[in-house]
Parts: sequence; C-alpha cells; structure tokens
Amino acid sequence: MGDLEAAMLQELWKSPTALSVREFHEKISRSRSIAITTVATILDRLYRKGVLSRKLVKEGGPHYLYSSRLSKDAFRHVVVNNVMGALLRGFNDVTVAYLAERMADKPEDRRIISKYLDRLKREGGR
Amino acid sequence: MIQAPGVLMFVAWVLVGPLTLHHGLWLPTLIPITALGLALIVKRSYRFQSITLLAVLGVMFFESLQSIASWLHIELIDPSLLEGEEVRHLLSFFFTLNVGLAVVGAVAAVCVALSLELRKSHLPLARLFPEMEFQDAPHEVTRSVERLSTTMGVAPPKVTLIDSGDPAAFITRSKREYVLAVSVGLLESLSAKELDACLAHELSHMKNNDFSVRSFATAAKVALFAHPLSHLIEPAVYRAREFLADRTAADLSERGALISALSKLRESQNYVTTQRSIGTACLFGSVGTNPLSRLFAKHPTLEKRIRALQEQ
Repeated sequence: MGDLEAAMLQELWKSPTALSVREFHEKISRSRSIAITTVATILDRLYRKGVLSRKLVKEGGPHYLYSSRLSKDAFRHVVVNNVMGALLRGFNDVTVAYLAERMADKPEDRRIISKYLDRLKREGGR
Repeated sequence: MIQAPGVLMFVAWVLVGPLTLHHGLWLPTLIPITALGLALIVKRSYRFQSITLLAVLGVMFFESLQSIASWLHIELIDPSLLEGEEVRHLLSFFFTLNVGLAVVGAVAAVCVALSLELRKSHLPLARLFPEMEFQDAPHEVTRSVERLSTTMGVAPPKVTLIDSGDPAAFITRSKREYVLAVSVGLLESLSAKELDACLAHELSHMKNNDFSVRSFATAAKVALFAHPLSHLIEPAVYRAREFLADRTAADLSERGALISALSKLRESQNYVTTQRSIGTACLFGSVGTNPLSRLFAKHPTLEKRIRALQEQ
C-alpha cells in the first residue's frame, strides 16, 4: 500500500461519515499538493482492491461516497497477515531469524513473543 | 520547431521512393515530395500532417502492388522465352493476372479491415467494453453535450455514464450511433469549464471525421502489414488527430480550461503509470515512458498535448 493510499484511509477512519472525492481532496491537500484527479484514481483503486465500499449518489451531480470496509484494527491485522504470510511462505528461516533478532533487543517484544510461544506449546500439547 | 510526423513522412518517402525507380516515378516526384516533406517538418498543421501521412500510405500501397506484380512476373516467366507473339501474349496474360491478384488481395485486406471496424461500430457498448458498467448520464451532462454539439455543428451523440471512479471520457460508435461516455470520476474531479473542454475534445473527433480517417489508416496498415513503416504511420495519424481535436476544442471552448484539465489528468496518470486504468485506455491514452513505445502509441503524451496548446 502506498503512502497516499494510507493517508486516504487515515482520513476515512477519522471521519464519522462517508466522504466524497472533493471532501477527501480538501482534507489531503491541507498537508500536501495533490490533484483531485489523483485522489479520485487512488480511491477507485482502493475500492477495486476491496478495501473501500462506495455508494453512487446522483443528487448534486453524480459522485461517490466512500467508506472503509474495515476498522483500523481489522485493517492492520489484514495487512500484517498478508505481509508476514507472504514472507514466511517465501523466506521462512530468514524471516523468523530476523524477528528473533529484532525482539531480543526489546524486553517488551520478548514478553509478547514468550506469551505467544507458551500459548502455541499449550495448544500443541492438547 | 521540428514536427515528428513530417520527419516520419520524409523517411518513409526516402525508403519507399527507390522502389518506384523501375518505372521512373521516383525522380519526377522527388522534388514535390521533398518540398512537401520539408513543409511538414516545419509547419504545424495536424490536419495537413494526418492527410499527408494517409497519402504516403497510399503511395506505399501502390508501390507494394507494383513490387508484388513484378516479383510474380519474374518468378513465373523465364526471360529467355521472351520472344515470339505467343510468349508475349502469355507474358501479358500473367502480368495482368498478377496485378489483378495483387489488387484483389489488397482490396480484400482493406475490406476485411473496414468491415471489422464497421462491425465494431454495430456492437452494443457492453460488448465493446465488457470491463465497464454503464448507466444513464445525468441531465446536466447531456445538456452540456447538446449545447456544445450545436456550437460545433454536429448532431448530439448519445451520452452515457461510466460507473467508475477513474477519471475518463471517450467517444465511440455503438449500434450505428455515436456514444460519448464520461466516468463518475471525471465528473467529480473537474470544474464545469474543464468538463466542457473535455467534452468539446471528444466532440471534435466527430466534427473532424476522425473515425473515417482512423479507419482508413488502420485499413491501409492491414493491407501493408508486412511493411514496417505502416506500423509507424498509422499511430502517427492517430496522434495528429488527437492534437487536432485539442486545437478544435480549444478554439470552441476555453483553452485555459482544457490545459487545466489535462494538467490534472497528467498528475493522476503519472501516479498510475504501472496500473492500467480505464482513463489511460480512453481519453488520455496509455503512453509508455520509453521513446520506442511512444512511436507506436496512438495517443500523444499529455505533456506534449499541454505544450502544443500552450504554444498555439
């Protein structure tokens, strides 16, 4: 997922209602220079990827109202699942070694991983 | 400033011209064709460019017929037999037969190409573009198209809405009538003036008879499929007609609005260069980044179109 796509999703999670392309553009262009056509294209891509849903509104000129199909937490789970799943399938040993090295440095990460390992052992012993 | 289609025509003539030497056509036509080539290289007239390129395709077509006929003639007749009345009759018969066959073959190729083009224009939109979904166009857009059509002196086409967020518009022929399609993404991204300019660009293809010009270019390419230059000239004709449509639209709507719309679309096109989108497939053309793919592209780059409009 690109930087702009992530920015769009952040805006959507902050908003209590579905947003139009113009509303997205207004919010995003506060922090960066971007053409409204680019916003429309990115939102269309996110819709085609199944990340967003949209409703076509004809009043006031045809436009879509976009909303997220996933909450922020659910989305994070899906992304981590997809990325880590792909890494573990392709480079199992390297990925596990990398994670172990990264976690060895941080007591908090070590505690999380021990908790998961204990749970896995218990489930495996059943 | 040097115009690419002129250079292409000039190269085509230099390569094709010597073929006409055997019947002494090259030298007498060298001076006017060279003058025409030089005029094309420096003069920016898209109508002139595309029509001259079509004429070059015609010359190439004629030369191919001659070459095929000569080739068959040499293969079929042993020169040592070229004596006596009967042999001359036989030679004349084979020559006529060969030219006849070549003409029939070429005419058949052109007919096949034209009928394929024609058949496409009879299909419903859903068959022509199965990846798209279409809905009734909003009244505001239909009214704008009617107003612009009246200004341009063309019959208003049917207008339809593409259910897609990707900014796009195109004009095509479907079920024997012109259909102008605009996407929801285009309507929600452009201002009213920018949208008018884009609609005017599409209507200009009708006004300038681009469907017929393109069909002829494609038919000539099919008839000359073995000639590499025909594969360069056909897209050059398409590109010249795009520039011409921009110029016509700029003259009849607001030049600044068209430049503004194309600039917006250039940014989103840059963002999706690796992703095929309906926008890049239609109004704005899918143009690769390397110079070789640009030679075969049927749309000029948006940069070139914006520059051409700014320089007018």
